[in-house]
Amino acid sequence: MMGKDLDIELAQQLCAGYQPPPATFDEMVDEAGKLRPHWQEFAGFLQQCDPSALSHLGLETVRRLKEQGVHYNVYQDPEGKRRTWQLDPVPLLLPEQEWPALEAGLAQRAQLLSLLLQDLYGPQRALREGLVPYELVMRHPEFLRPLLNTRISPMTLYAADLARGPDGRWWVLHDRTQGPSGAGYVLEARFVTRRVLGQSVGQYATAPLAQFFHQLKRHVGALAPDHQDNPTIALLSPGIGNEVYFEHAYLAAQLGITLVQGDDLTVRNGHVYLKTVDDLRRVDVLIRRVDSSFCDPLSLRPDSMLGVPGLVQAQGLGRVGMANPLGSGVLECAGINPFLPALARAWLGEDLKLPAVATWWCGQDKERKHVLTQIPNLVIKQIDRPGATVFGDQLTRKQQQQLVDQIKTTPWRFVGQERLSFSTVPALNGSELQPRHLVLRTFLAGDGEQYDVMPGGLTRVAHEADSELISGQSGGWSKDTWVLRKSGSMRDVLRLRVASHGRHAAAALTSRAAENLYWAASYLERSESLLRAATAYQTRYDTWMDYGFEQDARVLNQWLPVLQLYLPGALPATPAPDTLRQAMLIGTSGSLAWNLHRAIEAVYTVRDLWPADSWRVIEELEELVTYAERNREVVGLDQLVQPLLNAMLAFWGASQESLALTQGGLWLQIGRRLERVQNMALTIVALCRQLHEGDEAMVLETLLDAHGCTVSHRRRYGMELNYLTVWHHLLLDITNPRSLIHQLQELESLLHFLNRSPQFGLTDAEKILLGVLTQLKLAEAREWAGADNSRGMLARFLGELSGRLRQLGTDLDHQYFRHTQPITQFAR
Amino acid sequence: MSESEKMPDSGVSQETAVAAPVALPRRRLSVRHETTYRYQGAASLGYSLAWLTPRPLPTQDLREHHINVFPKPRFLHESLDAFGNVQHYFEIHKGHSELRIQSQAVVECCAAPDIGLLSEPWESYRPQGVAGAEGDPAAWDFVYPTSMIPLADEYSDYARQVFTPGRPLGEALLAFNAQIHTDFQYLPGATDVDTPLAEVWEHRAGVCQDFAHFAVSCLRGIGLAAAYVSGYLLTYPRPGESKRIGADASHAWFAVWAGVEHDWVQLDPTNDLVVGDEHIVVAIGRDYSDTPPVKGVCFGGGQHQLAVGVTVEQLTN
Repeated sequence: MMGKDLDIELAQQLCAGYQPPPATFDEMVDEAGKLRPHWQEFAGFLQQCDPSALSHLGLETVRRLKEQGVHYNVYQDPEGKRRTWQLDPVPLLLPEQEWPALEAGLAQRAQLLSLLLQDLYGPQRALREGLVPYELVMRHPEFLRPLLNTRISPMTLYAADLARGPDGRWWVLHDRTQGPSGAGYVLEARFVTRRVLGQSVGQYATAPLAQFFHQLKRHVGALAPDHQDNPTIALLSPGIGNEVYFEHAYLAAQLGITLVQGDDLTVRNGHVYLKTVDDLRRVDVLIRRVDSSFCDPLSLRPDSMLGVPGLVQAQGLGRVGMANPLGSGVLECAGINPFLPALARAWLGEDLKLPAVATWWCGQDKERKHVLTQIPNLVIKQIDRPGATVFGDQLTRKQQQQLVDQIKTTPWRFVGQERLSFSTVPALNGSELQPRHLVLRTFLAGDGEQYDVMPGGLTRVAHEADSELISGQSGGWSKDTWVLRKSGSMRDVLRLRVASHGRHAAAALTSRAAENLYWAASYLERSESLLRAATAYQTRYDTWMDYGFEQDARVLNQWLPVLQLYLPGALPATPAPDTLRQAMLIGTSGSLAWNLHRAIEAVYTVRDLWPADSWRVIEELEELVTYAERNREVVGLDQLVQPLLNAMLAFWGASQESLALTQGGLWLQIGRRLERVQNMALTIVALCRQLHEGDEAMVLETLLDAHGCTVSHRRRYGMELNYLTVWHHLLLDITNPRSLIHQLQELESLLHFLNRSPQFGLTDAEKILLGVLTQLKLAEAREWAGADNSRGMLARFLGELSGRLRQLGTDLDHQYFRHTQPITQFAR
Repeated sequence: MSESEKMPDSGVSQETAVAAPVALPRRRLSVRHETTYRYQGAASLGYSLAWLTPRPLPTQDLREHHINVFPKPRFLHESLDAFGNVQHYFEIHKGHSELRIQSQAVVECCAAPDIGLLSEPWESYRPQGVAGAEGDPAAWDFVYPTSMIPLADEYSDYARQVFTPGRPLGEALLAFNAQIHTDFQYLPGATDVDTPLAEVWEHRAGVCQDFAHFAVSCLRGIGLAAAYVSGYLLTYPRPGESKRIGADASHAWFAVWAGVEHDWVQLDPTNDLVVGDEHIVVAIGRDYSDTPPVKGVCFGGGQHQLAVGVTVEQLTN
């Protein structure tokens, strides 16, 4: 890092190739092309970077984001559901002296919007006194009648998108009041940017973020009914299909609160409860990331699958705090903008400190006329369709006419907004820095009167030069935002995780989480068994190909029913490994790929439980599966098996390291053990029914191989290998950690852990298991190693054992999982 | 609710439209309304909203009201909804395969008001001013289309046939009510709750709910504030027959906002009546979906059947 005596000339060389468009404000250089003072230090650092160092910064950023699975999903993405979030490591720098005015303006706007929200659902003074037109509010789809005249808490969370005009002033573009997203991404941007830039910019003092998240949690916690000391807070998410699901999980983990979806919750007596593995647990506050209309199929949209029946009542009765309250989406109506200045004067006795971009609502005659004549110079938006933004100058003559007709038919629906030329900032494009237009999303949390502002925010830049369409959905990039300080350091941010838990109730393990972990483990274990069975098959197949012995072919066909346990569809006799591989990788239900995708999806659902640094193993597993699927015509079975087994091993290792038994690790273990013993039992049953006497030695060899017991068997019995040794080793040998009995004993201690009141005896599941274990302990391998019918006896024994374990699984399911029945709407 | 309603067979004459002096005794009516849902399977949890309590109005006193739900709800809460109607919310926590909601009320109703008093040109009853400062707050939620009540030029034109420029509101309303009554055929079963208005218009047929929706659309289309009203109507047995219990039905009509002085003026196009002491008003909303008698969701249950029985009777004072 260069010192203060930095050679400004050098920095200006850096800017030589950096050409901001004319008549725009550039964040880094002024009109004369000189560096702005607060950029000098950073530009010095950039100047030291040659093109390869610059492109390394970009690659390193991508690597880190990929590793941690930082996603921003793009709907209808041809590249698949999950896409790595796009972050540019070069931050936006803002001088310290600029920030207080912005802060004050944002806090004022938040306060005003919060007052308006409570007014619109209550006394409606703004409407009665003509400060805001009735039509604008009454026709807005997020003005929700069931909330009228019910208790509405202030707007706790607020985000505003700002842009800087050519005159250097900041303007408000949009208000985000429904469930503002992005704050979590800022935190992640800070972590990654900080690490990628490393020590080189270590001297920079930046306003820390951690404090804001503490404030946020305090404001949210204060919404708890009866001002409870130790409120249970949950974040209500639409689930893994949402574009910012990553953030929901990330924030929940960072704030130490529970991540939930609608069917994790139930309303009882007007209170909201969380379905946990132990019981129903009262939820005091919800951070709402589901749009209001979707939150209650009883009172709001009846077709919503994301909500909780009764939630409207719970909020109205004041029995659950909601950030933000249901109904807050009405404030996002762009048509409200022109009425805020008068409202601020009337209610706050102040002028608006932060201007909003000039807006004309077409529901008013004069304004409509203005818009209709000025279309090419305006941005046209629909108040009830936030996504429908049109740049007037990009319309053909015909489209313009269509728009005019639409505005004339439903004028209330449209606003025209002044087109602002957004400021530019250097953005990393490959190995060079190019100016890109930016929008800054700022974040606030408050109680209706006082608002805390996050210092900085999420800067987003357009992907293309000249483009002012800035959104993640259209390929934009994000940046960290540094509000520079004279002293202090950036390090405080890292304290967040430790300090944020405070006096809030610990996050509960939801039934959903338990259920998903259980199934993730089952699917993974099943995949592993299949992979091992297939490998054992291939080893035998290779021998057959090499030597051509008839017996090998017979053994292969006796082994086939084992593979058929897993794979859907019939396999031909002695299928080639290629055929097998394709059957494993096609997308149909039951295939290897299908199992692994179910497992990965289940893990995503509980991603808040997963520490970021071990998330990599899941990303890698998913990449492997996707790669194998795409190349299923060419990837060899052996190329597939080992990397997948390694990835799964890494998963188990990471999960053991990071998931405490109480925080879900238990359910992973139970799911895994139960699946493993089932697979072993059913494999042996399938084999016993097919066994061709005389081939048994080779079949048993393959069986040992498929269960990873070849070596341990040899150590124990030397070269001896027969029914007796194998049945004993695989089923009854307590010293063999892979044996059936050993696995069941492990399961026994896991189930004991689940028993909440062991002093009153065993649970149903424990009883079943005890029965199974006792039978196994009393069994003698000799009985299954004798004449022909002894294999039949073994098959019956294991078949029955498998049935009882299935019952055990069902019992666990009934006792601990969600059992949400489908919602039925009454007929009318 | 897709139940058909019964037209009054006799006993109702246009005389009901004559002014009712305030001093006249009010007619005392009782209503029993039972709604039963039978599920194919068991439902574990049920959540419902009901609009069954007659709305207290200057022209209607609520003397008694009871609501009974079987199985007994663990939680029942009464409140006023967005439009000032009484709303019940209840939760059933135990498994059930049948839900029965019984509502019983006694009200005293005034005879129909003198519509002739609405003598100003109808245009002057429009809520005033775009910004609303001059208008009546109560009316502003009733001038815009809803998903069930779209507006269309042909409907407004239909209204303008009688809402000629400058015509007194009362006169125009009576003509409008009679026009719908004449032009549309009352045809139970022709429509259900979700039949679009366009279809009702096309066939010129439907039931009370359709006529009410249609009238509301026409009136909003010409700038008046109009509401959908749900309630009951006193019916009379055929001569020589006794009145059958449960044979009545819930009923619906429309109302026009005629300013603070006159409040909502209600007309029943199904029967070509001005709403008076044979109608019981339950709820006023923008359309049917704002205030259905009962709506709800349950977990599980599967297919279900709905049965409704309504009995309206006159009580001696």
